[in-house]
Amino acid sequence: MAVRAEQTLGNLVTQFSSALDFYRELVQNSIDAGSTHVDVWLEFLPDEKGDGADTIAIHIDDYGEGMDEEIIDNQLTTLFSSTKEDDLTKIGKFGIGFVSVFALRPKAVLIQTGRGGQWWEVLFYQDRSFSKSRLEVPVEGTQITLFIEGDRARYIELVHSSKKTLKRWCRFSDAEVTFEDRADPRSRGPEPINAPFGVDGLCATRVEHQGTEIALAYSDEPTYGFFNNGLTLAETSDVEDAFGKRSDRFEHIAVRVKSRYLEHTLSRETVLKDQNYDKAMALIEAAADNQLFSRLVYELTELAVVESLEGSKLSEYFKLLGLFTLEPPALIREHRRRPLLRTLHGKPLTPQDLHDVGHGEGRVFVTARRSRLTATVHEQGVPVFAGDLPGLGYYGKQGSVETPAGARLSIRALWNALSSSHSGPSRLFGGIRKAMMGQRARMSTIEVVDPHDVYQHVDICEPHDEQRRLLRAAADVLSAAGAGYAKLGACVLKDPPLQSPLFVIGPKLAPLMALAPQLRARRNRRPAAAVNVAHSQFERLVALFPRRPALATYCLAKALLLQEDRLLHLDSKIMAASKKELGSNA
Amino acid sequence: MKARIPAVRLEEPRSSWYVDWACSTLGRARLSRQYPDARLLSAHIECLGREFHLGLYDGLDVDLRSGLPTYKEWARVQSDHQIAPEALARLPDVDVLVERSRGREGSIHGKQLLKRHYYQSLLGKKLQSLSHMEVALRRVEPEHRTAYFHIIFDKLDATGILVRYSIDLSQRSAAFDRAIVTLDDDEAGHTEALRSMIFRFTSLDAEMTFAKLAVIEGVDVERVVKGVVGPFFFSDMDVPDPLQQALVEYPDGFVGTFALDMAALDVASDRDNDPLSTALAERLSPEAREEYQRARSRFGYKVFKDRKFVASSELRPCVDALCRGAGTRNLILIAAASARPR
Repeated sequence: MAVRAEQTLGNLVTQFSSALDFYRELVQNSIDAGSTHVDVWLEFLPDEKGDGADTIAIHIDDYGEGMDEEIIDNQLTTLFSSTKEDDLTKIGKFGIGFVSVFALRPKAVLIQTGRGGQWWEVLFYQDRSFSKSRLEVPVEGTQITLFIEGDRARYIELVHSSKKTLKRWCRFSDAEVTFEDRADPRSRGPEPINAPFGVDGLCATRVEHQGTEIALAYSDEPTYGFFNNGLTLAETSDVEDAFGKRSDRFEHIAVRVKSRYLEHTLSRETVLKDQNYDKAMALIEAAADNQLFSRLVYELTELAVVESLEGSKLSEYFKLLGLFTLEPPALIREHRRRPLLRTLHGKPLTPQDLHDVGHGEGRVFVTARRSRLTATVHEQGVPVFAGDLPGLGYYGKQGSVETPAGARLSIRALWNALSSSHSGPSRLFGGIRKAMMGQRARMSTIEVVDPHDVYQHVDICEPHDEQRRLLRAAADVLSAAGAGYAKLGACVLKDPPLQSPLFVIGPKLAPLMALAPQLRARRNRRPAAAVNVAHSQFERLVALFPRRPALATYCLAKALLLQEDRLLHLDSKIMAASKKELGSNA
Repeated sequence: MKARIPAVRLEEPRSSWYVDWACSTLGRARLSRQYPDARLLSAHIECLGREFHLGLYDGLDVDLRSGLPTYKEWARVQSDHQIAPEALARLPDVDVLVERSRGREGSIHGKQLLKRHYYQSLLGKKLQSLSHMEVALRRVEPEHRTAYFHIIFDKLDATGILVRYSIDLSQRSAAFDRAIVTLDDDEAGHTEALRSMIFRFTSLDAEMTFAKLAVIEGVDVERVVKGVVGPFFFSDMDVPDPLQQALVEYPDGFVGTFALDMAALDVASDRDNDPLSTALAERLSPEAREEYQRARSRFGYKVFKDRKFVASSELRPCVDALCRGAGTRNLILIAAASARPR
């Protein structure tokens, strides 16, 4: 029986991953004892005889409630006799924390402690037997000293690793933890171990509930930390590890949580996943869905209205927009009427506006370049959404995306989130449902394009005689073949692109025309077209027309259809019409 | 008619001296959670110093009964803290005020600039609440339909000292219709009845609070701890001998006292280790004393009183003598004004 007890104790002593994990256990006990400060200090005690039997003393002092004889006899020196089990205001539960001091194989462990007007000294020997005696001088809290064999090199190593261990486990501790190397003549006194509790990232948010404090922020390299009274229980960058089945929600959200609901497993390897853990998870999810997401919406809305947004602020806006689209569609839909989408001209628009534009036009315009052209597009009542500049693209875990794909992806993702919300057809039957689902399938994709790739500023001009004859002939041929335009005119391009188009199209001949085949023609309505009179192909056809009018006409008509990519099956009809209209000299 | 609180106004440099010593003393005291939060107190007192308020206020009024700032001073910082965001929004930007006040000593813009700095510094401060109650659920025992709570109540007492009551008690669900503590899921709260009850007890001993709470139906009290910050002693005050004489010799001496008064089931034996306290039993009439003896036997609690001191080094022997004279053995820590963490 005694052998088994000794074995159990041995297992408990060595169960933790590092012998220095006793710091965590003792600081935990100190916090549970109501101490607001824990002072850790090391001193080197050289062997006075010079036999090389130097000693290292590790001190852990707290100012909590301390221990009286009853606690010493029935809890300190007895395993598994914690009175803290199930107490949500305490970190320790098992009554095994103190034995961890033996993992370092100390020569002795001295405890001085006081409570209720009793002051005691307990001395543990190497074999873990102990003696206790009353003290006559008052002692506050509990002061523990470990005496370890070790030379100066071991001391230096211990100083370094002690500080590192304390920072790992105690940097967010509710109690102020200090560390001091008293053998260092340059020491400037106790050094604080604590750091402010929070997380790095965008929209950093804190949420407090009774016994729980949550810090969250959006991050492209999120880490996750779980704490009780500020003592580290687990830290990881593996979202699966941290959140299991809830991991999707936190792939781009860094979280640190201090909670009375969280506790270590007996082996301290991880967080105990019990009912209380589920309560903590529910609070974290609620914090992400409410406060963090609201903060994101708020910051986006604030940045969306700033007229000239540049540099890091603009970059931040697009990062935030990318993050917004990564949020659950239900949340996005809830906020679909918030004006958070920057436009190049005019007020910010809402995701709902985006949805409406996309639904009507089948595409939306996004560009980083504000120009006369985008202003004209805007004046015509078509919104142009702000896109990001090179290097600013951001899309969560998928990494940076070069421009303007970042904003485009965001816009597309927003569209998808909003489009998936329409529940109408599911309540319909038969033919109506079929028709609506068909329409929805058509509208479930959206083109996100740069208006500069679509539109061209032009001067509608009066063609000279040769040009006019060719244009009229081509218009007649196309009409005869059933592929005519509402009007076929001539134009000169302003700011022509590198590859000048042969012609542009639009609902009518106007200063802003679309590059074929970009125009989305309204159903059952033929567009107007304006041929670029400066285009080399047109110039050649004009030159050919007097000699071989049918061929020139056919070539122009065919080129128009080819570029517009429509009605190509009418080729033979066009050829026939050309011959009929202009004779057979083709 | 309201009785006038005895107070002394400390002018510069004495007010800065006081702030320095009070903060240093609080830092050195290493107060546990059974006392009001020393960090908040220290931050609060620091805001009363000229170095912080930049001369916007005249002097510092100290309550001569407690050696702590008067209620008016504590409350003034609190209200400034509350209005700081609004005040900052109203004041012009620093650059504007610097420009306007340049070369015009004592101008309104100069004062506005000081105010802006003052409110800005206040914004980030966490201060001591002058009356605050918190209830935390410790555990629930469904089989006994009982919930265990830890209650904390901080208050600036009418006598000018700062008090924290920590109470561990349990409440049976059968008594929840007359509850003093509420429980909604895991969220614990307090009733107004409890708050007003504890509020009244703050000038009394932990023992009396224990006895009063223990008679409430459905409530079992485990412990009542009263942690007290104050009085602080220095030469402007009327202080007990032999400190009085020592302060004549060392007018810059300073002593902070921190009392702990505990009535609890887990106290091993009754003991009074507070050289400044007069045990409740000694103040009571013989009949009342008997009644409290009966309460001790009925509820099974014992009482322990203690006090620790933080003193400037020259006053340590004197504090030592005070304790010896009272037959107590107390922790006496040494503080230095310059040791105050900033």
